[in-house]
This record gives sequence, C-alpha cells and structure tokens, in this order.
Amino acid sequence: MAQIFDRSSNALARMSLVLTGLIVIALGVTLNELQRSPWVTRQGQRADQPVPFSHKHHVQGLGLQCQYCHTSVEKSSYAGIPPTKTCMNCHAQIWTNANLLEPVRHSWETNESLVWTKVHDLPDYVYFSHEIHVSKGIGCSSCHGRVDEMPIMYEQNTLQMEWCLNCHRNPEKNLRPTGEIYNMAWTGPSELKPE
Amino acid sequence: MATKNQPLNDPMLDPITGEDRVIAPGHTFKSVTEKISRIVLTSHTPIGWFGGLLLAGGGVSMLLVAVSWLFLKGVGIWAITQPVAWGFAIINFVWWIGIGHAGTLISAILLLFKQSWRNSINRFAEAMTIFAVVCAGMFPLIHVGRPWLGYWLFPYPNSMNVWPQFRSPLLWDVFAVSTYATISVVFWYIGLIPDLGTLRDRSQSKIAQFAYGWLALGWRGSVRHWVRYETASLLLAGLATPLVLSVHTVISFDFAVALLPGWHTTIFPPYFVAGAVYSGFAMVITLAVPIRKFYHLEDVITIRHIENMGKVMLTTGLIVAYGYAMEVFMSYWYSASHWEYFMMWNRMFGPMGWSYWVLVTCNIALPQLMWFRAFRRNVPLMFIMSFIINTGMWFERFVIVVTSLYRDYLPSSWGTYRATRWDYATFAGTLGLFTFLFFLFVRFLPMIPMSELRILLPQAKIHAEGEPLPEAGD
Repeated sequence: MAQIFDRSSNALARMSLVLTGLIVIALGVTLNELQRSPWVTRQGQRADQPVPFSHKHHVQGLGLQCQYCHTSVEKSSYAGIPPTKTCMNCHAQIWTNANLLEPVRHSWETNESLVWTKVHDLPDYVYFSHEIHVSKGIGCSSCHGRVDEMPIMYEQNTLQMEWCLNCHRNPEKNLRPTGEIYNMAWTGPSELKPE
Repeated sequence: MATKNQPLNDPMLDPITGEDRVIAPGHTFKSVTEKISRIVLTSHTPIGWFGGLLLAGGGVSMLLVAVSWLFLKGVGIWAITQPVAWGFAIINFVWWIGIGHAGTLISAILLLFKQSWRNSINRFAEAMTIFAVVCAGMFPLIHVGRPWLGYWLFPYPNSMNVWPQFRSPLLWDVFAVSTYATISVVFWYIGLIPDLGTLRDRSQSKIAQFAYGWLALGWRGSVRHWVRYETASLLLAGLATPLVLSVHTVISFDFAVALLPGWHTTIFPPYFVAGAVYSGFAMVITLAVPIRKFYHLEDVITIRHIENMGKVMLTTGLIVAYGYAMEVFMSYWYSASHWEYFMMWNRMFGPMGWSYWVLVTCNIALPQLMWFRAFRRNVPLMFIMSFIINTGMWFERFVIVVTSLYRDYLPSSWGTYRATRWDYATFAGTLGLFTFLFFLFVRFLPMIPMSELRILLPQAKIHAEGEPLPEAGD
C-alpha cells in the first residue's frame, strides 16, 4: 500500500508551524490597523465641502486671527463655524462674481445654511469643551495642527481616547502661555519636543 | 459484599474481588479496536443517526432564529427586567458549565486517582464537556445588551487606553471559561491522537485516511511517543483538576461576591462545584445509556460504570444537600439577619416557592434511592434519575438566580419573573446544539478511547511465567 503522505508533507508540516506564527503576526498588525490607521481615524483626509474654503489663504495670507470666525471658542464648549454673514462681511464686496463663492451668495439670498462637512467629528458620548482648553493654555495648533498651512481642512490628530489621555496624563508637554494660544507657529520651550 | 446475591460464576464479576468488570471478558486487542472503529468507519450510517441529527438540527435552527431575533430586537425579548435582570441566560450558562465539569472530572481527576473504569467513558465525557462549554460560552456573549462589544472584555491594547475591570467575577468568567474550553479541547485532542492513528490505519477510503492521518499528526505509537503521551496526559490532568474546581468556583463568585441575601454566601464555591459534578454525571448517564444501547456497547460500558457513576452522584448529591441545609441553617436562623431570614422564607413559601420544592424533590429526596445497590444497577431507573437530577440542578440555578433577585432589600423594588417564549427557545436551542455536536462526534470520532481500553485488557498486563492470566478490569 502506498504511503498516505509523501515526503513533501514533512516540509508542509514544518511550514504550517511557521505559517501559524505569521498568521498571529498578521492578525496583530490587522487589529492594530483596524484601530489606528488613518483610514479609520480619517487623519489627513480632505472631505468634500460646499465651498473649498482655504484656511491657508485666510490665516497665512490675510492674517486673520482665529477668533474672527470661530468666535465662541473662548466662551463656549463649541468653537463655532462662522455663519454666512461672516463670509459676506468681506465677500459682499470682494470677488462678488467668483463662481467659487456662488454657494455662499446663494445661502445669503435664500437664508439657507451652508452645509459644511465636519472634519473633527467626535461621537456624541464625548462632551468636549473648547473653552476650558483654550483658557488653560492649549493652543489651536496642539490639537488641530498647522491649520494656517492647510488649503483644505483635514484632521491632524487621531482624536482617539488614547490621544486625549496621553495629554491629560502629561499636559505639561503641550501647555503654552495664554498669549500664545492663537499663534499657529508656536513650538514651545518644551525640551521633550524633538527639534 | 458485592457478591451477596450474585452467582459466583457470573462472567461479569471478577472472581477475586467480586467487583463488576469494566470490560466484558473475551475481548482481545483486535475485537475492541474492531468494535469501536467500526462505528466510525462504517459505510452504513445507521438511519437513527440521521433522524437524531435532523431533530437536533431543528433545535439548532431554533437557536439561530432565537439569537438572530435577540440581536435584532435586544435583550428585552427575554423576561428579564428590574429587579430580575438575570434570568434564563445566566441560569442556563451555569447549568451548561456545570454539566461540562463531570467530563473533566472523569478525564482528569479519575486519572489522577488511577481509576481504570474511567477509560471507557472518558472520551465522550470530554466531548460532552466541550459541547456543554460551547453552549455555556454562548450565554455570556448573548445576554449582554451589546454583544458586538463583547471583545472589550479581553485585555488588549486599544486606542481607548481602556482595560477591563479585573475585580469583576464576570471578567474572571471570561478567563475561566476560555481557559477551560482551551484546556478541555487540548486534553481531548491529545487523548484522541493514538485513536486517530488507529482510524487512519484501518480506514479504506482515501479521504478518511487523509483526514485521520492529518489529525493523527504522524503518530506511530513508539515507546518514546507513549512515554511523552502519558506524561502529557498526567500533567494536563494535574492542570485540569484545579482548573475544574476553580472554574465553577469563579462562576459561583458571580453570585457570592454580590451583597444580595441568598447570593452572598461563602459556601457557594465548593457547593457549586459539587453541584456541577452532580449534574455533569447525570448528563454522562443520560448520554451513556442510549449510546450503549444503540451501538451495542454493553460490554465496554458495563453496569460497573453505571453503578460507579451512581455512587459519585450520590456523594456529590449529598454535598449539595449539605449545601442546602447549611444555607437554610445560616440564613433562617444562625445569621440573625432578617433579610436572610426573609430570603429563605420567601424561597420556600413565597410566590415562587414551588421551584424550591421541585429542587428539593429532584436533588435531595429522589436521589436517595441511589443508596440502594439494586437501584444503581438498574439502567432504565438510572436513566430516569439522570433526567431528574438535571432538572433539579437547573432549578437549583433558577432558585439561586431568580428567588434571590425578585424580592430583596427594598419592598418597593420587588418584582417577578416569567420567562418568555424566547427564553425557552434559546434554552431548547442550546439543547439542540449540544445534541447536534454530539451526534457529529459520535459519527466521526471514536467515542470510546480504543487505546485506553486495550490497556485494560488482560493481554496488556505483564505477568510472570506460570501465573494465571489476569482478567479484564482488574
């Protein structure tokens, strides 16, 4: 009677052990990616907006201070998205015929809100307050990145719980003088930060 | 003493000790192997097996429907509410885990005690353990309101920086049950390897040869194999013994750690373990009796097994009875706590008092019949008794869970509990799943360890020149 398993089975049997190890590693990598990859956290993804609003142009180019538009950031848990009125303060006179701004003018005429897409969208079981962070020395760029260099807004950080806790456990790495909160270029005196 | 009313020349009795034999005389290595492996390797699957599988499959379907509906609608389809937030799911969980424990007792504890009568029953008792743990393990996963977040119970590094609470007995349950399931499968599989080798060598079809050969992992039965096999078995038995005691202890902590009168008792750990072995052995008998009848295995699962299991059941049943008595003594009188007093009074004479008396009848009163040798040796009566005990043990968990919860400290939060059709469907469904898996096991794997039976045969014993041949089951 012929053997059931020929000689090549030896190699297969040994390889299956190696394969088990590889599967375990692959599983670990997959589980990590499922939690932390930018694909899941949406870091760096440019969402579709009704108007391609450029922070880079308005902040770096024109030198607007953050609170000009995000007015309630120091007083409210919600930093606020500016209403169409804020846009029209200038764009009633500037670029009045630009196609790009058509939705803004339409919103102004019809009284219908512009539907911006939220880039930093926390789940509703998280009760985040902007006011306390701003007044206790956390600058805009610590969480939102260099918004002044973003032509289209995207998420810089994961906004995951481990990221929040990392700072809440060691806040000194990110604290800055309250005068520097809106200074996007502030890097801080922290020696922990690699230069 | 055992031979009192038996003819001395009965072939089923050992002439020296007067004990029943573990295996009927006349068997050889070949006949034992032939008998067991034929059940698996036959090309004529008995029609009864198909019928049974179909019936059990109906139960599995019902379980799938019940669980799907549960996931769609939520746990509110069950009868659980406040104050009774634990119902059938926990009762069944504890019941199934308890059933599994006899399998490990037979395979591990009796191995440590060198009880050779365990050899004929340990394989299917271990299978029973695994399938009971499968059924049990489902309940902690489905009785949570958000079963899709069940993996949060595992300590893994996650993006929330959150770990489970290691002080909760429900978390210990996760570790206990998952360890128990793993060790049971490993122990069972290692025990199967020599038998899988036998099946590989005896099967005629290429597929069976490949499948059993693959599962047998190249077992050749050399001395070196056997030495390591025995060492591994003994080590695993040594590990499984504390495990089996601790697993049901941990399950009992789910209750004993709470502050509820009727739950907060230090007697729970040993008394739950005893109850587990009690109901587990009852389930082994429930399975053994039809198996030996249907597959004509009366000469390897002999009356000795039935009787010995009766003795173990009687012993553990008395421990359980002691547990009940001690609970009554402690709470009714000795604790001087009126909550405890009321709990026991309510358990006996409250609106659900009937369940307590079902429990006392099934678990304490009727099993006393097993004191009688004639009763223990009567297979049909023992079969009935096994059902009675399993019913009683189900009611034990019902009484502990429900009658402690529905009336506790605040009379304003007294309630009641009436199971819905989904409670019943889920429970009956797990019975179907258990039977379904067991049918598959019986058909495709040797339900009695051939290698361990061959060890019991007189031919396996080394004997001096001129000495008479020892007989089986000594």
